[in-house]
Amino acid sequence: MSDKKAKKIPIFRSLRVTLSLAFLIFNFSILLVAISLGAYFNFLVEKESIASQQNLIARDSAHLVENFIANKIELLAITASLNNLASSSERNVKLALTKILADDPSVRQTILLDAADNEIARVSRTSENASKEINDKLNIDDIMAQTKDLDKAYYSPVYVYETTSEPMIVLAVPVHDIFKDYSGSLLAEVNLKFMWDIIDRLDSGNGDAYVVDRGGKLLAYKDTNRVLKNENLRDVDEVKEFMANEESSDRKSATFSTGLNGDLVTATHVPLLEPDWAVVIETPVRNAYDAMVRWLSFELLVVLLGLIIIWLGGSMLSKKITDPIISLRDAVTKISGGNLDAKIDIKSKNEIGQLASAFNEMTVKLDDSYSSLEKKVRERTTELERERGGLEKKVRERTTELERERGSLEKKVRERTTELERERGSLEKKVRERTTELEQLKTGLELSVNEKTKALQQKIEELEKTNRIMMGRELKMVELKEEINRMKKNLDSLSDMGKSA
Amino acid sequence: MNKKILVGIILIVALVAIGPIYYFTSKTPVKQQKVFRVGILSGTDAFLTMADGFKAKMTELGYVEGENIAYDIIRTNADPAGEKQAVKKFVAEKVDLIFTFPTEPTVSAKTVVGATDIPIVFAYAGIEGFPLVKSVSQPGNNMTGVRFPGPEQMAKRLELLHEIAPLAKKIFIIYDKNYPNTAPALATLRPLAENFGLTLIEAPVTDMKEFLAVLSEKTAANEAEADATLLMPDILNHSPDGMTAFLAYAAKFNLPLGGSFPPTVEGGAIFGNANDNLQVGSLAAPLADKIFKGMPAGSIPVVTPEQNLWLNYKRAQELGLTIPETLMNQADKIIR
Repeated sequence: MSDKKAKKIPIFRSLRVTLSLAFLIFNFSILLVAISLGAYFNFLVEKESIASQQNLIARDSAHLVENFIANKIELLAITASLNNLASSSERNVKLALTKILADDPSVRQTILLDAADNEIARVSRTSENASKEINDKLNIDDIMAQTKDLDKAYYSPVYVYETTSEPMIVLAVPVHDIFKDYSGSLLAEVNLKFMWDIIDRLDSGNGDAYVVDRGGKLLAYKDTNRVLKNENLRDVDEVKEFMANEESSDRKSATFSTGLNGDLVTATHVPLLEPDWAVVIETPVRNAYDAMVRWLSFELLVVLLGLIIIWLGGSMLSKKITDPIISLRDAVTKISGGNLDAKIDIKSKNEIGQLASAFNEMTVKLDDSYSSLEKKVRERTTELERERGGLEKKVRERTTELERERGSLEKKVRERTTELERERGSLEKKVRERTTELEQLKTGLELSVNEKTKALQQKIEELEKTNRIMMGRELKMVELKEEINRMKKNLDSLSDMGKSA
Repeated sequence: MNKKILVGIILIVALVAIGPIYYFTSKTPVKQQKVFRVGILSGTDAFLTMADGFKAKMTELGYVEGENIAYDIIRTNADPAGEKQAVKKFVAEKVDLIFTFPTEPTVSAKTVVGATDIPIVFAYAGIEGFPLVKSVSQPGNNMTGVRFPGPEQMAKRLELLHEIAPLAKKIFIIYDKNYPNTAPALATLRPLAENFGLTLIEAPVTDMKEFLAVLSEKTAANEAEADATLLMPDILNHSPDGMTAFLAYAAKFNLPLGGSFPPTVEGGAIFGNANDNLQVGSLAAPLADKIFKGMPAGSIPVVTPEQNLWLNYKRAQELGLTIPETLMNQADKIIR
């Protein structure tokens, strides 16, 4: 007997792979849930941390910018109060104004106005002509409204000095006389280029820092070109919030918004006490969450490592489970192929081990049963072969008899064929004789027809000739009749003429 | 041991090792540090300290010479052909940036660099009346820098001279008529002098030989023909030979001289109104930094340096002049 081979199962449908995959998917799902939860909570913590860090930077930056302006105001206020400008001589006033320039390099020029807005003195770093360009920028009514009416410092809108393309602001403080009455204003034109340097030096934590006014106009930014273009940032989310008076510096958690360069950023702003500006700090999300992204990358690496370990472990486990089953299957395949000597070698004491023992016992019993059956089959085979010999003899005798009958039939067929061929030769001869006769008759008829046709044609020609003569006569008769009529007419006309004559 | 198990163990150990290595190394990514090459073209040794100011500020900004930046300085001293040769060398070497000063070498650099993508940062180059840049806020032409505030500076110099020496009515000036800064300076000086009731005695020249010849002639004639004199913003007035001759001329006739840089004040000018070369150089460095960080040079606004005032109180007293107290207060340095 030959062994029948087990039908090969595709590897991905095998029990081992199915078990390994199930194990892998189950564990991967658990890992994924764990990592997702971890990432979510990490993200929340990171958001808080970023918000707090940005708030800190924004407050520091706002403090620097605020101080930059506040120092100028303080310098002006001290100069105004200590030097008793209201009652000093022009020389002393100029000296006091010069000291402001000497103390602060960002002050381009200082001007003292009296209570009626008249210029008392002016000291400038630049030439006289250049210094007078400020006159077009001064809004005296606004200055008076602030310094005289409200007794407060004045901050002009920021403007650009065309020659140097530098941003300027005019600051003013009220000047009082000895009785503390308003006696004029002390103005300073300040070059905000120096504030740019502060913004340039700011460590905004991988992001951008800039200053805007309440109208959204960009006042300071590292890309000075954008400032000089008078760019308005009213469409930037954080600036929009500042313009709408919404506080963002107390935010507990960073939010996403569109930044100065159109990127997705986390941003915050801190309004200044004076002037009405805000410092905005924004960090591109990709920079702000860099640490978290790195953590997530690491976690994914761990997941990958875990998956490899799970796959290896799962494979080993499934191998342990499926190996006995595969042995069992192989043994059953051999048995089904007739190899009853096949034994299952499984030493396990579990259910599969018991199943293997039962199979081994079944094989022994099947082997015994098969031996007894074989003996019976051999006896029956001998008997059948004997019966087959008798039948073969009978077949041979009947074959001989049939061949004899076939020879006799073949002889009769040959004789009848010869007779029929003879009859066919006689008939063919008669047909040939009758055909010759008919052809001779046809030739005689053709000759007779030709002669008759010729005679008829001659008669037709004669008739045509006679017809033509007759036609000529008819025509001549008609002509003669016409001539007679004409002549008659002529005779009538001659007779008429004779009568009239 | 089973071969598969052995491979598995090796794989696990390798991955366990790679994880922490990746985590910790990704915190401090090691980038290949680029070494920037800067070609510096100094048009005159009088301004050479600008290169020092530039380099010092670059170091502050994190560009350490020999580590991530290398400088190649070429000094030409009023030699236009040499300037062009120097810029050609920089272009051939494909430097990352060319730093030039003052005006004339910058003009040469602009001409030679042409269509290459090498950015130029200039210092103390006059941009008025000369198409060096498109505008102060949008310079274009792949160049930016620190401008020479020529016209307003010349106006201030004349104002200072008039304030310190109000009796001087005839002011002598000698200048290179072809120098780019000259025309804008004259355009400012002439109406202002007229406004003050002053007469400008002008001596236009074309080269150093002529410059020295004019001064020699005046000295030989033993006649000043002027009450005061003013230093003009060109390379002839500021070259060592020219400056020495001019200071000698003013000294010979005891003419109050309105100067520019500290050496002119130390040499006998009653005041100097110009810019601190170190400061000018240092102002150029942040521009170079921005270019190295990827900003196109032509989009970076040109910077204007702050003006400085140096006074020679001693010389003013020798000439019987009084320097107003307001000027004394503003002065950065006073020679007594």
